[in-house]
Amino acid sequence: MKLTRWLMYILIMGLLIGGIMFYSWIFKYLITAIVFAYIFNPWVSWLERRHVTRVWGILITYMLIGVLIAWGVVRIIPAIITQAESLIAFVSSASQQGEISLLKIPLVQSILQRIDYLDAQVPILKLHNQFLSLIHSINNSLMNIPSLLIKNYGKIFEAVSLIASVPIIGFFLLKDNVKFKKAVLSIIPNKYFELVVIILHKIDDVIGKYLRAVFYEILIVGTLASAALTMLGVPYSILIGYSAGIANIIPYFGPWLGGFFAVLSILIAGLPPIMILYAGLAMYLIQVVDNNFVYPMVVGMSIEMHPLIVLLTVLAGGWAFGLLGMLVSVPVVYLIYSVTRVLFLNLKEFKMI
Amino acid sequence: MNLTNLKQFLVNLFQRKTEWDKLRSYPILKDFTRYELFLFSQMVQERQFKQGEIIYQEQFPLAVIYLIEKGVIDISEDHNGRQNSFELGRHQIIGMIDIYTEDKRKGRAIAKTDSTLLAISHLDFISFVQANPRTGIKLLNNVCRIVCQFAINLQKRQEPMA
Repeated sequence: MKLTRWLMYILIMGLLIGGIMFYSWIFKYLITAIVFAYIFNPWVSWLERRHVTRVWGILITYMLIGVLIAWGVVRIIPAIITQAESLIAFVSSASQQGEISLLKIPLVQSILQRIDYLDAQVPILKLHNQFLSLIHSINNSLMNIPSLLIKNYGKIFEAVSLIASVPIIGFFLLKDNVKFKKAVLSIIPNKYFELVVIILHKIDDVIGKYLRAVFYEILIVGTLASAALTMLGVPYSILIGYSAGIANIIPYFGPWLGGFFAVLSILIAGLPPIMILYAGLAMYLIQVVDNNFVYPMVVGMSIEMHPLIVLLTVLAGGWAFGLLGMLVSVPVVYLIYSVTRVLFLNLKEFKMI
Repeated sequence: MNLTNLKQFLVNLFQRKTEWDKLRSYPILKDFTRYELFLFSQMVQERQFKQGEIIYQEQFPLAVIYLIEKGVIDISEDHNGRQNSFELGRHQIIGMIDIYTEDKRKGRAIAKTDSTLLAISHLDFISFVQANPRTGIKLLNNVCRIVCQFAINLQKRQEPMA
């Protein structure tokens, strides 16, 4: 009898490992679809509470998203593409012409003039050459950007297939989320049932709230920043605005990044320095609105992590996975920390550890 | 046969009985519409307990409310060193009052016979009331009625003793 049971366990383990290996390539799709379902589940549930069945609720939600995307395609995306093309053209010209292109920027020119003046006064300093070598190293970094884009075309196509499959997987996750939850709970032994109920609820709550908060923050902060920078006449305003929205995911440092993009854009365009002040003020006001209205409204919770830990996490994420790692590392670490905390506290309360 | 009866007859004839219809047998859900029962049923998890199996222990967090679908449950609580024990049966609820007063279990519950319980997460229950205010009011009204009835019965039982 014992041997049969062990054989059964081995068979189940084998099936599990085989299943994981077989489906491993779609994990990325599945996780993205889960994020998608978490963000839009409140919309479907809201409709369900108003006597709209889940299937219709999902279809209505998809239609709304479709309308929003269509509006974005018509109104915002062309502007973003134009701005991105203009930025790439600028970077390409910089890479073709070497340091001369960067030296055309009025601010860089004025700095060089001052350096030349200093060199004339104190010839021993020889700052001119040092400044030119600094410009040269910046150019080298900029030169790599277009080639990076070309090299990553494969990844861009992968992203397109991801975008296409996520709504389909998301449909089933949204439709049958209650069934999935019940199925998971049904295999839990009675002894652990209450513990698992609490843990699942809290994990669901933490992950759901956090993902929705990130999504709505990117949208709202991105839109506000784009509008403010467009009104100020800052170049690449929409691109910078939404980049600022995405950068906002990183607590403490993200908002500064958004401001930095805006200032850089003003400097490159050679706009009057007072614009830096205006753009900085606009970004600060957006942060005030975000911290006092948007964040409490969409989430009502905050990331309780020390700024030093956040900084180290961002650096580690950037070191390991580049720009995406910098953006995603803090939320991922926060979620893992929260889940572990919930697990630990509840295991302790149920006297299991 | 008047028109109302005829209508009810036709409704019963054509309406498919679903798993959540059985929930109407519980006093707290008696005046729920089918759709409200369907919404409520989404957070209900059926659990089977064997005779003698522990449902929860004393001092465990109050995580779940149980509706007794089948069987008898023995509840024992410790009041200042004195053991109080009572039984709950079909369509009675375990932990209903406690969710408003406690965050830990006051006693322990054991299945006296093979039992089927419908488990509802305490947090899901609260979320349900908040997300569905109209249904929530109905639900809380029914809970109040049951609690008041319980208090009246208790008083009646104590009066002759006094």
